[in-house]
Amino acid sequence: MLKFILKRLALGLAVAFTVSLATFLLLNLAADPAAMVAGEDATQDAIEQIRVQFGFDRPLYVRFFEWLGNLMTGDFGDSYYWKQPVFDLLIDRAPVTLTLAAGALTVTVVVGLTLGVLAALKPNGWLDRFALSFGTAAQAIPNFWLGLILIILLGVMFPILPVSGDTSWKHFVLPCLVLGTSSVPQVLRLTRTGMIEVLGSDYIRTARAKGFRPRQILFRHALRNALLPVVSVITIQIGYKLGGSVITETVFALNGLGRLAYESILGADVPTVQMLVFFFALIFIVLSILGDILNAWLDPRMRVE
Amino acid sequence: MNTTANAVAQMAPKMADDIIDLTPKERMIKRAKGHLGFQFGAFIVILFALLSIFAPLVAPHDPYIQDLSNRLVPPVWNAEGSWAHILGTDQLGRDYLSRLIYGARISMGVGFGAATLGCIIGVSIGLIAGYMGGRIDQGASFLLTCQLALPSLLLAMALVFFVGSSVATLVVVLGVLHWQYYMVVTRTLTRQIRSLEYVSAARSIGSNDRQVLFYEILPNLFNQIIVVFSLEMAVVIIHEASLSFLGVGVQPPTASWGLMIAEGKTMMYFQPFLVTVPGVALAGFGCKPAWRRYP
Amino acid sequence: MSALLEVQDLSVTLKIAEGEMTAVRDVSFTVNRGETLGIVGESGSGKSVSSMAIMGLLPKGTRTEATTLRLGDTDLLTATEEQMADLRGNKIAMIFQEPMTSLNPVYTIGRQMTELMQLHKGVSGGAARKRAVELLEKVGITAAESRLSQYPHQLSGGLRQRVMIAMMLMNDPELIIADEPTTALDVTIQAQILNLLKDLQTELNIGLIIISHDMGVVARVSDKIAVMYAGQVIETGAVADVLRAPVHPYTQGLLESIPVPGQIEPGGELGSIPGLVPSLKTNFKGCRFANRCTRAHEACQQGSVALQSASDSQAYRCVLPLAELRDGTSSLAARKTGDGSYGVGIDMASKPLLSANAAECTFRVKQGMFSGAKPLRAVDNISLDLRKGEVVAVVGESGCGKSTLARMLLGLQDPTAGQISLDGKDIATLSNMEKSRKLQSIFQDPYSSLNPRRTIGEIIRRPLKLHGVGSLAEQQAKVEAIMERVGLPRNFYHNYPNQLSGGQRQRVAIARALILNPEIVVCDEPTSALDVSVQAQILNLLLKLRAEMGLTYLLITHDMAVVEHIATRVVVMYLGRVVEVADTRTLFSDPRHPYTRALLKSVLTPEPGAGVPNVDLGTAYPNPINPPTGCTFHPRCELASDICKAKSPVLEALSETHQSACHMLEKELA
Repeated sequence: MLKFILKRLALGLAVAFTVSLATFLLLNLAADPAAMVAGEDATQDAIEQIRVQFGFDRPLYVRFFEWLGNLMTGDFGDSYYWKQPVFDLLIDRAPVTLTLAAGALTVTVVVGLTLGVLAALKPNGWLDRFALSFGTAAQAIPNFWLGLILIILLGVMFPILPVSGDTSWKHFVLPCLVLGTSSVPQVLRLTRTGMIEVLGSDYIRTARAKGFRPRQILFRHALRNALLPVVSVITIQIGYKLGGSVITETVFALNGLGRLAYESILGADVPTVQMLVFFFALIFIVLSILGDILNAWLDPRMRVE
Repeated sequence: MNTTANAVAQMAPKMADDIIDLTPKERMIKRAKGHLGFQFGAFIVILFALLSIFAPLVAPHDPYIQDLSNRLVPPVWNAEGSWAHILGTDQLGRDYLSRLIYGARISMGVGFGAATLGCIIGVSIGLIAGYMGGRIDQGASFLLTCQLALPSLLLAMALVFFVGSSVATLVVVLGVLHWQYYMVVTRTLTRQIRSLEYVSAARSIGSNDRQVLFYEILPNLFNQIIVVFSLEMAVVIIHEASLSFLGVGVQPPTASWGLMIAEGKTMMYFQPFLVTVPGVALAGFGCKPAWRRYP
Repeated sequence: MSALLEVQDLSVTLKIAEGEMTAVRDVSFTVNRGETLGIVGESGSGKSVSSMAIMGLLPKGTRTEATTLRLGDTDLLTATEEQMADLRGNKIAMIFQEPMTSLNPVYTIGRQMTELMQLHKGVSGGAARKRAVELLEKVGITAAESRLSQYPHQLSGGLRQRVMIAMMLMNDPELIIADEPTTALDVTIQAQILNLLKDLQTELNIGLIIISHDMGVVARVSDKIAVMYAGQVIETGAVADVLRAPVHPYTQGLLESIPVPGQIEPGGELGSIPGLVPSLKTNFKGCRFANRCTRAHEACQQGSVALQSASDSQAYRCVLPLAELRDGTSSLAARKTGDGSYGVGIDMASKPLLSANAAECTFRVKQGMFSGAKPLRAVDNISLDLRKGEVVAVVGESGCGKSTLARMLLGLQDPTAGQISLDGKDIATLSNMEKSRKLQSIFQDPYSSLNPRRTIGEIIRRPLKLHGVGSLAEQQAKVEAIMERVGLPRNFYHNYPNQLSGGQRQRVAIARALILNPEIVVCDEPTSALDVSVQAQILNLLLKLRAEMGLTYLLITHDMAVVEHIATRVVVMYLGRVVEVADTRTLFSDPRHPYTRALLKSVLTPEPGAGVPNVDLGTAYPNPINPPTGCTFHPRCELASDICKAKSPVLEALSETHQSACHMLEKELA
């Protein structure tokens, strides 16, 4: 088991390195950082001056390793736009986003798993059809639009929930619902197919031949097997949640990392943006490692003797 | 609960040495005919495609002409609406229906372009990884893990904004960031097919790798790739709308559904139709079938 | 005394996409305690559905009708779902075909065994564990206590089936239904499991139903037998009566299509039943076998046929008078016996067409998902020559490396050491095109060996197109000629593979292999995916084509009966090595290697009442990743001595045509 975890960690590190490299290259190639720092009205001379001053004239790889080196020592760089260390910005904004992600994940898991299992019990039954329609709708409706509609409905026409800001738990209800709904289809679909497959498997037939009742079969014999693939999808969904927080936080005016990213992009703040992209990727990597470990724990076939 | 029902239902066609007297094409057509969702989806896709191709002919007004005296006319079902502007006008007095129709052009164009680009990248990687296996496959899987780790919406926003918004940028950036599902599906299927005996048979009658890939394997992937394509197209269209909504996608005054929602946002408490109408169009396009075959 | 299980006029109608399908019609049988009923039939005969109906495990929407369906004093027809659940795993137990998938992969053996007893008997966990250990020991599992904490994937197939049997005995059932209990297992393991079942049944006085497609299995273990065809029992009775004096033309045909050692000369034509097993969706009128029966006449098409009694212990379902049916051994396509010339006249001194020279193939295998790769020597130093006109059979159990050897000989897999040469040239230097002109192959699974997107015509024509042989019209003419030769109707040209039956698809595969006029055809288990009656058709076809086209075959198989019938020379493999080579006659009459003997002993011919031979091979087939030292067979060999553990034996010539690799050859002779 330890060997498995170590291997998984090594892979995670390799992914983290590649992702940091890709992020750095893409963003620094897409934008001329000097021009961005200088602002729109800057003269060519001013831009060149900034280029030398900030060290943008050095080759990309030098700047990358410098950035990576600083990262290792905990120096996340300074934001041009916000005029403060990126680290402080992250610490400041992270709680809102993490709360949002946690809430949204709860919505996804609870709704997705429940509907998925119920739909699988009677394929083509009315519950299955409902789940199918719900999933299709949740996939088709854009996140930001659902947010706006809920704001119109629950914030304006029937004002029961606050629609903007992040000062109380009530502020998080709508954003979590919106962000959570967007990931329901994937979890729902995988749970449903997994469950149908497991319920049709030979060992469930064995369980029936042993005289177990449907409910016992569902909870004692089928669920654990059906959930195995769902675990990894949920980790992927967390990644999407973090990326999706850009939209949700903008729509609901939550002051989290997503909004920070949005504002930094509009402010052409490369250091903050690349740090945020990398930070989100890092969270994803850590979670997927945890997901794999959880999977190994649930599935004896994956454990290494 | 009917657990064994599925098992027996799956067993049923195999029970006798059963012969289904239908060619693969006939079977597909028969399945499509029996699948309401498929027909509905196909209808929408074709409708939207026709609308966007023939937009200048179909649209009742020029979508860019501002008529400040006719601002915020509500849609026709509203008491103050008029047939002159079926879906009303926006805050600059532009005909909403026409903008919607022209918006379909952007959505379909970006969606189709980006989905095609992603398809080319993903299918190529998946085909090679699945067929070659070994280290190449491991490399491709590593690439996939990296791509999954990146917050693609955020990265797309940053890239499009830094490079400069244009339809071309959108297509390239969204395409390059949306190849994962093609790759996963292609790779899995290729691995499955590669181990089937007809691939061995093809080699033993003298086929080389290229002939095996293009004559034996690829044709058997088409159906699945098309399913993924239609779903990815919907995803890309929503991403385009999201970017435009946030102001980093298509730039005004071009009509795009996402941008229209963004522009309508300020007025949405008073004229909700500015937001609901393009949203329904988006969702309508996204409501495509076959969701359960999505990986 | 009334029977333990009584089934009278059972009919089962399943719901399918196109409506309804009567999978079983008017099936009747009884089983007493201590008695074994064998139900035999080809795929689609309804044998499994009948057993599921008794268990009450059929899906909702299924109609089960019967005049009587009774276990002990419980009427299974009127029993509620709750009552049925109480019976299942308690009074009736069921053992399934696939031991690999029939146990839940995420729970330990112990949990799966004890929960069954706790469910029905409400005993404590400790008591259930005690019983589980007791039963595991009873089914011959060593270190039973420690097995309880193991997971299914840690056990071999044979062990899992033992666990399954032990589990089903937890509550002392009165009736056990075993649905193809040994089909997924190797022959040597099959004998062990059948013996175990039989012993337990006698000891515990259980009623046993064994369902199988294998006449041999059913003949050896049953007291009574029911032969099923297209959802009906077409003949039933005491096993000796039915098998020695079959009445129904189908039973007669089925028995004749099985190659039985001694009964038919090698190379002779097997009796085969023409046509296909009908789909159960057919709207049957009259006798269901009529369209394949050579004795059918008008009366057969009119009205369904009732079961008639032939004697006190035998009944059949046919309109013909008993005397006529009994008369003559068979009126099916009379089989021709070989004339003793089969395999004679092969020039063993000629230059070999295909040869393996000290060929080796080592894979690197990952056991767990993240553990390091370990070497697996699938083929270990094998030398083999194939000369013109020979039919060389490579036999062995699963995992012995015979398929890897076949892939190497076909040039689909490069040897990691040694060399494969085709006509004297190293096969690695030949292109696919050059190889394919001389060397072709037929694969095991006719369902996956044809590309589903191409028509039959395209598939058979493809080799000609690749090789650029002739114009399109010439190619098409060639395709039509070969289709006729392998017995495919011309109108299949534009059909797709899914429109053909398994046997027909295998004919397509044969046509594709032969269209380039190759010299050698490698047949990898060409009949193992087919029904018995169809298997005979394909074997006959292969023999006919060999004679007509002067072909040389390399046959990969696990079926010794097929080997004896068709091969001229046999190579026996064990764990990647050749343990014995001999011409077929010698190998079957005078096997030397203990493994060959065990293999031959485990062949179950349909000999009623002969019992299952006791094949004592001790432990299970070893894991090829960690092969035993010395002679890899020593842990399972009763003759093994110290030298076997230390040194691996080499092939020694016993005669010109007979070689064996064993340290104990002298001792065996004694």
